Amino acid sequence: MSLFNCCFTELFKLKTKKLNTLMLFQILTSMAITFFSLYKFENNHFIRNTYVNDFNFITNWMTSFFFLVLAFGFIAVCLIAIFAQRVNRSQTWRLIPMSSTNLYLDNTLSSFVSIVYLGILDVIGLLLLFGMSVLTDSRFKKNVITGFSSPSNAMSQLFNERAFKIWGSILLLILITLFVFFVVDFLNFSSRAILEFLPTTSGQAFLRVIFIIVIVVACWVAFSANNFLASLIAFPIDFVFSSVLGIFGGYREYNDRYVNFGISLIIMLVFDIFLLIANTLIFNYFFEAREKK
Amino acid sequence: MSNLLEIENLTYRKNLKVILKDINLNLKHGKIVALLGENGAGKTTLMRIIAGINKNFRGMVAIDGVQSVADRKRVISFSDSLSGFKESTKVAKIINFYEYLYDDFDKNKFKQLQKFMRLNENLRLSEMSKGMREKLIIALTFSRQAELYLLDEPFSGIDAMARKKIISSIILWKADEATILISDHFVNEIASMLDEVVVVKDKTIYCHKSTEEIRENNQSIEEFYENIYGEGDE
Repeated sequence: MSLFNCCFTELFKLKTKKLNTLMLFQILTSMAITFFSLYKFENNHFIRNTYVNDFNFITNWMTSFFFLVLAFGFIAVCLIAIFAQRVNRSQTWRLIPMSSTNLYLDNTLSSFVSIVYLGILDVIGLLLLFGMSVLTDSRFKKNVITGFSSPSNAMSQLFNERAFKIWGSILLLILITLFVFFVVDFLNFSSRAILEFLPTTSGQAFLRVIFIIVIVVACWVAFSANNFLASLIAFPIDFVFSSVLGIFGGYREYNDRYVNFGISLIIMLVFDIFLLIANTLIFNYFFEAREKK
Repeated sequence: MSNLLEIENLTYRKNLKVILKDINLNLKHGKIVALLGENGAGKTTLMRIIAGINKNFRGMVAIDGVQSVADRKRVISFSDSLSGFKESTKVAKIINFYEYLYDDFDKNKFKQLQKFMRLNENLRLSEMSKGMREKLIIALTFSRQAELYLLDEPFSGIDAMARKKIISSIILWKADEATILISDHFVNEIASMLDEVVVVKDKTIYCHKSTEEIRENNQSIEEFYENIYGEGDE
C-alpha cells in the first residue's frame, strides 16, 4: 500500500473513532428526547403523554433520530475540522515522508470520507429504526403501505423533475461540506502565516485580531467573487437549461429555479477549487508545524 | 567521501527576526556530530529545516544531493516530541503508527531498544515520566534505518545513570554509514562519542571542527565550547 493510502487509512481510523462516539451520543440523545417527549412523571410513575401522537416509541425515536441527523452532522463537521487542524499543525504528522501537498490532500479527503461514513451510519440507523417501526407499529405500517401504494410513481419521480433537485442537493451538500473544511483551513493557515511575518510582540489577543481581519477580508472577497461569478455564469447556465433541458425535458416553467440552483452549484465548485489551491500553497510554503518539546 | 548533508547560504527569518543567517554546513557519512549553542541559538530551528518541517527559508538544503522535502524526510529520523498523539495514547499504538507509516521502521530493533530502555508497551503517554518519554523517543528514532539521525536534546529528562548507558550504546544502534547530528547541553557526557563539533553562535555556524583537532590543542570539548561563548562575554 502506498504511503498516501497508509496515511489516509490512519487518519480515517482516528476520525471515525470520534464519529462512532458521536453516533452513540446521537442514538442516546434521540432516545432520551423521545422518552421525555412521550412520557411524563406523575405519582411516582412514568405515564404516556396523550397529546403527542399515537405512534409507538420506536417510530417516535426514528423521527427524533432523523431530526438530529443535521445537528449532529454539523457537530461532526466541526469536530473533524478541528482534528484536521491538529494534524496540519503537528510535527509528528508533518514528519511523515510525503510532500505537504499529499499530506494536506490526505487529511482533507479523510475528513470528507469520514463525514460520508457518518452519513452512511445515519442511513443504516434510520433504516433499522424504520424496519423496527414497520414490524412493531401497525399504524405506521399502514401509513407506509399507503405511501408506497404506487411505487412506480415514486421511482419515476427520481428521473423526472425531482431528479435534478435531489441529485443537485446531494452534490451541493458535498460541495458545502468540502467548503466548510476548506474555509476552516484557509482561516487557520492564512492567519498563522500572516502572524509569522509580523513582529513577535503579538500574543493570543493579537492572533484573534488578525483572525478577525482575515475573516472580514475573506468574507468581502467571497461576496464580491460570488456576485462576479454569478453574473459571469448566469448566461451560459440559462442558455443550457432553456435550450437543452427546455427542449428535451419540457420543463421550461422550472427554468428560473434550475438556473439559480445551477449557478449555486457552479459557484460553490469554483470556491472549493480556489480554496483548495490557495490552502495547498499556503500549507506547502508558509504553514509550519508547531514546535513543542 | 561524499557529503551526506549539504547546506548552502541558508537564511531563516520569522516574525521579522533573523533566526539563522548564511548557514553553510557539510556533514559526511558515518559521523557523530554535536550541534552546540546556547538556548535560542537556533539549533532546533536548524534541525527542523534539515528535517523538512520549516520550509520558509532561503538557501539550499540537500541530503545525498537531493533537495526534495519528501525525499529528505525518507532518509532522516528526527527525534519527534510525539506531540501528534493524545496523552491517552498507548505506547503500542505509537509503535503501530511508526511501523505503518515508515517503511524503514524495524520492529525487531525497536524490541531490542525497548528491552534496553525498559519500556512498557501498555503504558499511556500520560503515565510516562519525562525520562521514560525521552527513552521512547530515542528508541523510536533509532528503530528507523535512516541515513541521518537528528537528535534534539534527547537526554533532557533522563537520569544520569540511564543517560550514560544510552550514550555509550548509541554508536551500536546506527549503521556505519549513518550520521548523527545531536544537540545537547550535557557536552561532557556526549564528548566521548563525538567525531565533530558544530557551534551555532550569532545566528550562524561559528565553527565546525573535528574532535581530534580540538584535542590536539589540549582542550576538552567542553573547554572548547566554553571558550567560544566566553569570547563573546568578555
